[in-house]
Amino acid sequence: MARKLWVLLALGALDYQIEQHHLELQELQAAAAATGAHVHVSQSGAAQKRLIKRQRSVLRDLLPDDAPAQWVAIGSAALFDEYERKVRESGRRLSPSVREIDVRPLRRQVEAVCVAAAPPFDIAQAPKLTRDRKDDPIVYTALLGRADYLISDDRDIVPDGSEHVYEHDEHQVLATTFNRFITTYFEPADLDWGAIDGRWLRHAFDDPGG
Amino acid sequence: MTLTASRPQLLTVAQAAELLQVSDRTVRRWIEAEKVPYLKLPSGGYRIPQASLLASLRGTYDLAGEIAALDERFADVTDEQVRSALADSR
Repeated sequence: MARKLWVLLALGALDYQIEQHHLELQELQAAAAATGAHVHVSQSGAAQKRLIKRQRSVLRDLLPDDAPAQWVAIGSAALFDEYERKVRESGRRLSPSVREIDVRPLRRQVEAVCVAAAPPFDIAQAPKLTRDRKDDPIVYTALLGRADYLISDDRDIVPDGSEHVYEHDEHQVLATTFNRFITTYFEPADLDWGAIDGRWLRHAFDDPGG
Repeated sequence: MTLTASRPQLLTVAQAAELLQVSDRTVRRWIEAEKVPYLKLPSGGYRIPQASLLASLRGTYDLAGEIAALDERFADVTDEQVRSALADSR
């Protein structure tokens, strides 16, 4: 089930990137106008946008018609680092076949799906939010990124095993377990999860024309 | 996770390097090669939009191939096992 949610987040990531492409260009042009700076648009930008549209089209054809594209995952360097640390630490326990060379590809999967950005921050400056200092940057990423939900089965982040509200700078994020998120907050609630295959994640990053 | 798009993040060279765990020099090389869109400030500094940076680098790896290979190798590992292992990790 979690892998199926990743497929939907990948769909959201593709939609988000198309939208962000426009927003970033506007932001760069506004900053350039304000400072007298020059904007340089990469030569590969247009080709990249076309590729993203093709990938979205492939995924859309596979997914049920009501599969949502509005769910977007947020990432930060701190989040990716903590994920990599956890994979390295627990991967071998999970499966004897997990090797060191698997760690970076696993991290790249997460980086590729978590396309929305929290503003960069120094993890030493993350406020104390949880009982485990290592988890504070995770929660802080969600708060700085203005996330609506933080999905975690970690008891240090969701102490009562159900849900917990964190607040910072007038923004709240609801930390909730995976199962509770799916059964209580995910929309559309009647999505046919059985019609989604977790192995479709690869299609979000394949080049259908390549 | 959010339902809404966030405002674009413009990164400094150092922030982009830290995010991607590469050197400042590597990021400057990408800029010089115009692999990523960027803003050149009058001061000589650069600002790089994060989403475009991450998207442009995706072509560096065969991510689809990596995912397919990982799916195949770990086909017997369930979602529940992964979530449990990550949750238990300290």
